[in-house]
Amino acid sequence: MDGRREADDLDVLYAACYRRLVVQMYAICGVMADAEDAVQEAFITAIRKRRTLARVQNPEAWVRTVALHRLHHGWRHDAVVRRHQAAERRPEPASDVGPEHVALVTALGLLDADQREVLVLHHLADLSVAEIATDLGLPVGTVKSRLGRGRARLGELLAEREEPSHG
Amino acid sequence: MAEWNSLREVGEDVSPPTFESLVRTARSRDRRTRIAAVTAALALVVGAGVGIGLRTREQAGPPQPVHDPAPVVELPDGVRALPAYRDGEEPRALEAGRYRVPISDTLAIDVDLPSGSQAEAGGRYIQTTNALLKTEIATDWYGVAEDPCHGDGITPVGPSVEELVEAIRNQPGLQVGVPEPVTVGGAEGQYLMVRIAPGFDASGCRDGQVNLPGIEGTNNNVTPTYVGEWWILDAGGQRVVLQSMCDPCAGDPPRSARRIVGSITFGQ
Repeated sequence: MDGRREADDLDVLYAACYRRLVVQMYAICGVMADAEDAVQEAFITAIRKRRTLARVQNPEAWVRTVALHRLHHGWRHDAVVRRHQAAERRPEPASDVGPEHVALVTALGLLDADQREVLVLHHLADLSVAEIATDLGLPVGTVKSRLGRGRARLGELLAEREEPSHG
Repeated sequence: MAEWNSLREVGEDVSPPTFESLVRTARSRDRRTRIAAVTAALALVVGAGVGIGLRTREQAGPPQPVHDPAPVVELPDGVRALPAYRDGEEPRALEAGRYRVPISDTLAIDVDLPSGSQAEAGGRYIQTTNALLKTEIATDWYGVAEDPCHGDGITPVGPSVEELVEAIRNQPGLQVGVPEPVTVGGAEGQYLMVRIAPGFDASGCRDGQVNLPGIEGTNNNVTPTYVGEWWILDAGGQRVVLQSMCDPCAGDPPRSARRIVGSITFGQ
């Protein structure tokens, strides 16, 4: 694969999956700017390692894994978002955020980080248990147990929010 | 669950930065990585060689006991040593003055630098507010790019200044001016103005950039707007390449690089 083709393919991948990867990272870390940082950094890594990326079977999963590593390591680089978006990006659409997803992100934030990650990958990235196990390097049984406990706890948290306040 | 679908819809409000902006950042980091590689290589040379004391190979001899430190060459009056940096430490802005920049274990340059200059990679890269100067010994490994677009291969050229000048003039992708005889700090050589050839399509090149002559692993790659000035010199039998790098460059390169080069004298 020549350099031009690789660049084109990466451009297409970026256009196709940037937004959904940001949402997935946002669901995991709860901060939109950090989510965008992580995904942008993952794509920068992909650009720099495009020859490696050309050999992987699922480039989106590769980029997602890199972005997850960024979050895992607590990596922050706020300047990335500012540098790339200051001139062209609309203001953060905070007022557009719907209550349903606010409640969900809030509840996810109260989960154990491991459970949260598995839940997001399963329900938001639509990955199977086996795929999550592969991407995260975990035994399938571990993924299943985290998924089960995470679902149960998330349900409790969402139910609590729906219950009327007793003052 | 409705909540998950609601969360998916948040993506519609996400505004991706342009892909090109990420490519630019990636290129910038690639360049910095190259500089870091130069730093590491230079550190190895300095550490494994005779050190900042600039002893000659003949003087160095076999390894000495640790209680017998290498002699330190005294700098001429008014010439300062470059500050030493720890790994990962950003180079600091220098005060205006004359500095000694070691470029091999037996050769150094003394150069006037304006206030705010920064010396990276042990001085191999000198950056002022509007110019970037690279100084290095053109060793036996120095040559021209095997392919101006792809790969990192270098075809060594040498050993003379004239052979290197001719090879640079013939490297595909470059438009090189007529060589002009030049003397820098008493070292004679040739001056070249180097641009990317106007008819050369770099869009298919790796990162859209053209590989410059140099040493494999530390040669630079530049965009089509690059303009470089090259001074290829014979300094006491050692080929020295000084190059100002303007990239991206609108028009002619900054004259400040010439002033810096004009202030150079060679030392040991």
